[in-house]
Amino acid sequence: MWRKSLYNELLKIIARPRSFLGLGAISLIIILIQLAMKMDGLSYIQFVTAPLEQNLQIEGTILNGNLIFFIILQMLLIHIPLLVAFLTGDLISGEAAMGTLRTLMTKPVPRSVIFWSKSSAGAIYTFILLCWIAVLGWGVGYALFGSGDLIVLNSEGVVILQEADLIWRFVVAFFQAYLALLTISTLSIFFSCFADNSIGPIVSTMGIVILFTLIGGLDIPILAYLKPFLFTTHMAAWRLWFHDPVPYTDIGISSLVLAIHIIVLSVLGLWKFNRKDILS
Amino acid sequence: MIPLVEVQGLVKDYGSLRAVQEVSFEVYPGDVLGFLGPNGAGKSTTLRMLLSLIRPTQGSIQIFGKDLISNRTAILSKIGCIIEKPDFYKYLTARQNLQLFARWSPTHIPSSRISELLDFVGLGSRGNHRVGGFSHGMRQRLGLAQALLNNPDLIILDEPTTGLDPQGIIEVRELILKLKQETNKTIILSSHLLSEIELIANRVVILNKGKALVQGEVSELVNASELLVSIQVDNGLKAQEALQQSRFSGHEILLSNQEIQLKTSRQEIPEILGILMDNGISIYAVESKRKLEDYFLKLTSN
Repeated sequence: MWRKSLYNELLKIIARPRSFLGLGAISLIIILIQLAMKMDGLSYIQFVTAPLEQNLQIEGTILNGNLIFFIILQMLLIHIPLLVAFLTGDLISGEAAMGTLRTLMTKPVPRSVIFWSKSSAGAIYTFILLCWIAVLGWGVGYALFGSGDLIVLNSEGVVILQEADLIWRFVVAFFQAYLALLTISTLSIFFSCFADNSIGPIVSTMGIVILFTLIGGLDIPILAYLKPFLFTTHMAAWRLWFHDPVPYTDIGISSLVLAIHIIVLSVLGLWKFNRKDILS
Repeated sequence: MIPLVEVQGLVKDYGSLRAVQEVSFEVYPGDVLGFLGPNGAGKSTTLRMLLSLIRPTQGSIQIFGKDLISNRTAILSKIGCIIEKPDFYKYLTARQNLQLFARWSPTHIPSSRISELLDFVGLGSRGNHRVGGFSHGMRQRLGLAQALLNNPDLIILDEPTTGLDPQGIIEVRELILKLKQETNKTIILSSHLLSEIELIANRVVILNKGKALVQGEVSELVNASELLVSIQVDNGLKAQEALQQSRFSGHEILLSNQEIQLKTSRQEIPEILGILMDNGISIYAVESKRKLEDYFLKLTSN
């Protein structure tokens, strides 16, 4: 029953024009970044690296496919969560608003199966969205800019990573980013269990992301205690895979915090969904 | 006979508001039970509880001899329903919608069954059209097809003609009657229209303000009730005198312009008209209004 239910959920996602808005928006953003970098990327890079060139001699092409993909992945913090919430926040509440949840819930399917199949469909969609970013960002980036070493500027300084040392880092960073987006997906499905309209869960999810990001960015001592527990603090943990040496403990902690969020939000969402009165 | 549905002391509270108050009733195999009441009487809430869409605050629901809460999926596999207006995935075709709902059935529903149902509800030629372009009446008919997908033993229809134009109402009513006659299914039908219940149901539960006021056979309620007969004549005063001198002298005979009114039974109407004609009174129109309507209105207005 779970497989059939998941199939139905995926079918609905595929058939909905809304699902392709996310993919379309991502494609547009990525292509715009790549075109802009192709046209004016060198002067932009020189502007950033000019202070470094006083002490370092940089040889080769800094502006390459790896750097472009790294820049594109920065979008993960705000833009991609919005697109994920746009679809997953609608999975339950959108059906409630449309009235189809009423019909669906009269079918001989346990509510938990409906919940998990919707959550899984949301997770699969999120994965496909991320894969699409990889295809466009990395694949097209390589085709347009070629390969090369990656220069990363982080809080501890400049890290230069050899081209041969990059593929595995991008792969694990991809899954780290997926964990962060899965947290967003779970959060918006959780809100979706409480609402009977599409907008509420999307706005609530993005509201939480923005609020937590602001709290995380403030240097106020009392908020510093909260910061390690906020999922937004760990959403950019994929960047840690581009440190040298790789801070495995920090990555482990971030992964654990995100996983706990996913589990807790899923359990609470399921609890609410099982008790939800279908009044729409 | 063992009831198919047995509801005992059903209560539903929304905060401080008690939407359904101690409702109890039974439905027997082959019954068409009418749920009658004005808007807000608690009909939909009660039906939603029968489908476990809403959790009752108190009371028990036994369907097919099993408790609904602990046997939800087994019971729902034998029920088909339309709750309020049937909503579908607008971006899918009628056939795709039915295929989608069929996939949630524990037994395999072949595509031939879907075609058969689309034909049954008169949508055979529109099966591959997107539901987004369907009229309300077409969606209602598709809703009926959806309710029949798993060949259910019990069909629950909540206000199936609400929002339809007169043609749509006739079509849906004919489909329900066809279903009743051809398949002898057990049906629970809610409506705020007395005429609809009279036409389709054999038993009725009258609800108002969350309470079940009356329940019983429709025929008993109809037969027990009197008719209010209005007769338009050429000479109202003469007609009134003629009836007062007949065996109807004990009836209260009202006169208004050239129209007389009296409460009587259906069987007595020809005799009344005969008396008037024997007295040389011309009859222009005869209208009868069932007192069950008055009874219903009296019940629900109190």
